[in-house]
Parts: sequence; C-alpha cells; structure tokens
Amino acid sequence: MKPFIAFAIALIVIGCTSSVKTNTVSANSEPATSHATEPATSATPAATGSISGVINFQGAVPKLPSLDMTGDPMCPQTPQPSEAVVVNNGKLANVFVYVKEGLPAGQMTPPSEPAVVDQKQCRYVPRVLGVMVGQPFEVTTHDQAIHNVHPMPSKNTQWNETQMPDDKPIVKKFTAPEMMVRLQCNQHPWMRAYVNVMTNPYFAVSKPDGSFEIKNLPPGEYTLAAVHEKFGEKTMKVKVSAQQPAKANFDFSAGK
Amino acid sequence: MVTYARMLKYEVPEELSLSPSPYNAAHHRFTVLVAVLAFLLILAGALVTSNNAGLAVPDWPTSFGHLFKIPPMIGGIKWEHSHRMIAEFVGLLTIVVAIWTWRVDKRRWMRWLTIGAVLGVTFQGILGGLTVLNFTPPLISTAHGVVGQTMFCVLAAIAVFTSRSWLEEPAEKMTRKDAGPLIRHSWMLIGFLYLQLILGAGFRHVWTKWGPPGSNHWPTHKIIHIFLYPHILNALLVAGLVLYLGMRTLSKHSNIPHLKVPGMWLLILLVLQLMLGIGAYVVRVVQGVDEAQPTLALVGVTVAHLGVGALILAVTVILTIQAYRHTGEPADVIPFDRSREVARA
Repeated sequence: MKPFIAFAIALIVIGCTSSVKTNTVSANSEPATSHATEPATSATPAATGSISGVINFQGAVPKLPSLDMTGDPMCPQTPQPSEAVVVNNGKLANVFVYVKEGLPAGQMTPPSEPAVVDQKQCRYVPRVLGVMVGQPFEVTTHDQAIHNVHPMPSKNTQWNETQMPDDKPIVKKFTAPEMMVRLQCNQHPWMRAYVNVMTNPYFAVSKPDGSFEIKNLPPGEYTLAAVHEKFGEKTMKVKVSAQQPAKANFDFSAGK
Repeated sequence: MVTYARMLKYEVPEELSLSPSPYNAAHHRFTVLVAVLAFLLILAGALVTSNNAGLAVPDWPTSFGHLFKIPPMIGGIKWEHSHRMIAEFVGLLTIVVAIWTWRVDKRRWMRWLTIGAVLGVTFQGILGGLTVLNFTPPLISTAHGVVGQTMFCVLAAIAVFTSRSWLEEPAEKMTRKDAGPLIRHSWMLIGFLYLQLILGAGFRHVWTKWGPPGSNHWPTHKIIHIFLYPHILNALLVAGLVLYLGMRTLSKHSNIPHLKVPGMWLLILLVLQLMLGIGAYVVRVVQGVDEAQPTLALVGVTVAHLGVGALILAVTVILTIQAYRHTGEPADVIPFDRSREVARA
C-alpha cells in the first residue's frame, strides 16, 4: 500500500508542476506588457534607487485617421483608432524611457523569462516594449486571422514567419542592441510594434496615464532618454541615489 | 555584328524584313492576349508593392508550403498570391507562344525571340522568388520591376511581329534621311525611359522597405534626394523627347499610320503620366509619410502611374520597331525633283 501511496503522491506532484508551467505561459501571453516593460533586477534593492516621471504632451494632439481593417474578415470590421499617438489628459503613452549613458559598458545578464508581444484584434500588444539582448522574445496570437510576424531590424537578423490561428508562440532572440526595431505584419499593414533591444534592464514604457518608473538602478548620474515613434527622442541628466527616488518628467509636442 | 551595324544605319536587316511566314490570325491574337496579360501582371505586381504585401506569403516557390493549394485570399495574401498565380499563367502562356511560333513561323529570329521570352519570363520569376526569400531587398525588387517591364515590351513586340501589317510589305516608307532623327530619338527615349524606370522603381522599393512604411532606417529626405528628384528631372527629358517624337510622327509621318498612332498615344500617355506623377508625389510623399496603412488613393494612383509608365515604354519600343519597318530606299519614295515639276508646268 505504501508504494502505491508514494506513487500517487508523486503523480500529483508532477501534475501540479506541469499545470504551473502551463499557467506561466498563459500569464506571459495575457498581460503582454508585464515582462516586456519591467526590467529585471540586477542590483540589491537596498543599495539602489529609481527614476519615475510623467511624459507630458503640449499643444494640439495630431488627429490620425482611423484604421480600416475590413480587408480581412477576421479583423474588426468597424473603423479602429490608431495607436501611433495616444494622449490622455495631456499625458503621452507608449514612450520608451531608458538609461542612455552612465551605466558601465557591457552586456548585463538577460532574464530567462520572455518579453511577450501578443496579437489581438489584429494589433500588436503592446505597441512599444523593451527586450534585452539574448532574452527570449515571444510572439503569441489570440486572433483567428493569419498573421505574419516580420521585424525589420538593421543590426539584428531579419525574419518573417507566418502565424496561423492557434499556432504556438514564435520564440526568437535578438543578438545586438538596437532601438525602435519595427515589427510589421505584411497581411495587415496597419499592425505595428516597436521593439527596443537593450544591453541593460533599466527601461520602462509610459503607461496610458503617461507615467513610468525605472527601478533598481545603481546610484549614479545618468543620461535618461525618452523616445516616441512619431516625436523622436529627448534626453535629460538624472542623479540617482540609493533609496531616494529621482524624478524626471519629459515634455513632448507635435513639433517635437 | 553586321546586323547591328546595319541597324545603326537605319536599315532593316533582310532577315527581319523578309516575311516568308503567312499571317496566322489565331497565333497573332494569342500573342496579343499574352501581351495584355503581361500588362495585367505588371499591375498585379504594382498592387503588391503599393499594398506593402510583398512578404505576405513568406515562402517561395511554394505558398505556405504548397505548390498548388490556394491559400485564403485575405489581407496581404490576396495581392501577393494573385500576383503569383497570374505570373505562373503568363509564364505558361509564354511557353505556348514559343511552341506555337516554332510550329507556324518560319522566321528563325522570331523563333529564337520567343525562346528568349521564355527565358526572360523564367528569370523574372526567379527574381520574384529571390525578392521574397531575401525580404524584398530594394536592389532585387527594382530589378524585378525593370525586367518585368522589359518582358512586357518583348511580348508586345512579338505581338507586333506576328501581325498582318508587319508580314505585309508596307504601303508607305520613309527615306533613310527622314527615318534617321525618328529612330535616333526613339532609342534615346528608350534609354531615358529605362533610367526613369530604374529611378521610379528604386524610389518605390527603397521607400517601402527602408522609408516610412517600412523599417524607417532611411530618412525620407535622403530617399527623395537620391531617387525622386532625379526621377522628376528625368521626367522633363522624357517629356521633351515624347513631345518631339509625337509632333514629328503627327506632322512629318502622318501618312504612315503605324508611326502616327504610336506617336499620338505617346502624347496622350505623357499627359496622363505627368498628372499621375504629381498625384503619386502628393499621396506618397506629402500625405503618405504619416499614413498607418496604404490608402485607396495611394494604391490607385501609384499603380496607375506604374502602369502608364509601362505603356509608354512599350509604345516607344513599338514606335522604334515600326520606324525600322517603314524605312527604306525604294521604288515608291521618289525624291522631289523641282526641274521636272517646272518642265511639266
């Protein structure tokens, strides 16, 4: 009887382990921004600081034409808003904020968990993300449309792979740092995402309320940069000390 | 070599002008059909680039792993796969043209021309495949565009060479002296049209690949300076030559319909093409930089601009060919003799 009980317990343990693995995959693909935008920790929290701030948008917000997805019956059939410029109450979303200068040179260890881009309603979600060199980059789909995932880098290898509905995720790695690599879908020309390939984990993407936070930065003086797909890049000097959050607000406008 | 030297003197080599083959209406109509389909193929290819769908089917020569199975014709697939299907059809029909020509046409050069067409169309298909497999590199994509229009001209020329009017002795001919400027300027126009084609195709493919609709690695002003401004400048030279040839054929050679009609069409197409060129600039460069997706106006105008460009090249080739055909020193071209006219009076 004892061997039987031991065998049963072993089966239950194996079953639990495999279900945890399954949950992890779906969790990765659901909130696509979680791994993509939050950097991995590489310094002791007690000895580190952070930078937080808001991306403000000044002036009139450009009116972009809505997207027509009717070319594919599996995509939304009503006009869809463009995500190229997302401004809420004067705050700009989808701005990639990163430490441009001040960190020791070289490549930091990338996290083993993937940065995930999902395809939902014939859009890439999130639109802007960061991934470290060597970190798994995973593309999932929740659409019934046929997609083809096509990043267009200049320093990394280009690839173009079809992803049918219910296909398993495509997993790749970027090998060289590169900013704002455009991710296209040649089935749906409006589909666009921007992948920033970094050597360090100190980056964030501004949320719909324009806020961002970069955590666990070693104390020091840095050049912080904020880059937007339409409005280009802005930089500022920021001093970070342990346990004392630094503030950095950026102002963008239609005229850059 | 001898033939080339004679052509420079505006003489039609005998082996070209002799027509031992009788007119075969079915054969000729078939060559016309293939030339028309080749033009539609050019438009289908233009639709692929204008819709930014060049890589919608990522593999080649298969489509999603299949040679014959038609994928769902949605999204970018409908443009890319339609282009492939029309291309395969035109390729097949070109082989039929070659086989048919070898069976019914006794002209040796004509037979080899159709073999050249088959090889050219095959090469064009391989270029299309290389474009897909290498992620639409502008150099190969541009070559694909240029060779495509060249093959269209070859197929149009084959249609001319099989026509009744070509096989019969022309009723009217030009003297070599008259033909000289016409032939010389026709060749010049072909040269400038090729330059125009390379610049236009280069702009189109670099813009789509590295410009705003693509990776955005090249600043727009760089693409415009390298390709678009020279394209616009060359358009002026092309327009000048078309005006000259059009006016010359309509005034000096209006008695020869096979010169007058292409000349007239050149003028009509020029006006249309200039308007489409301005339209393409507006929708592509002025409005298109910030577009999230190709608009109907952008697709329509750019495809039409490319199509009319292909027609201008083909009409110029036909005009040149006909100019050779209608040149000769001849019994029926009598130089004006003033003393004889005076004596008669």
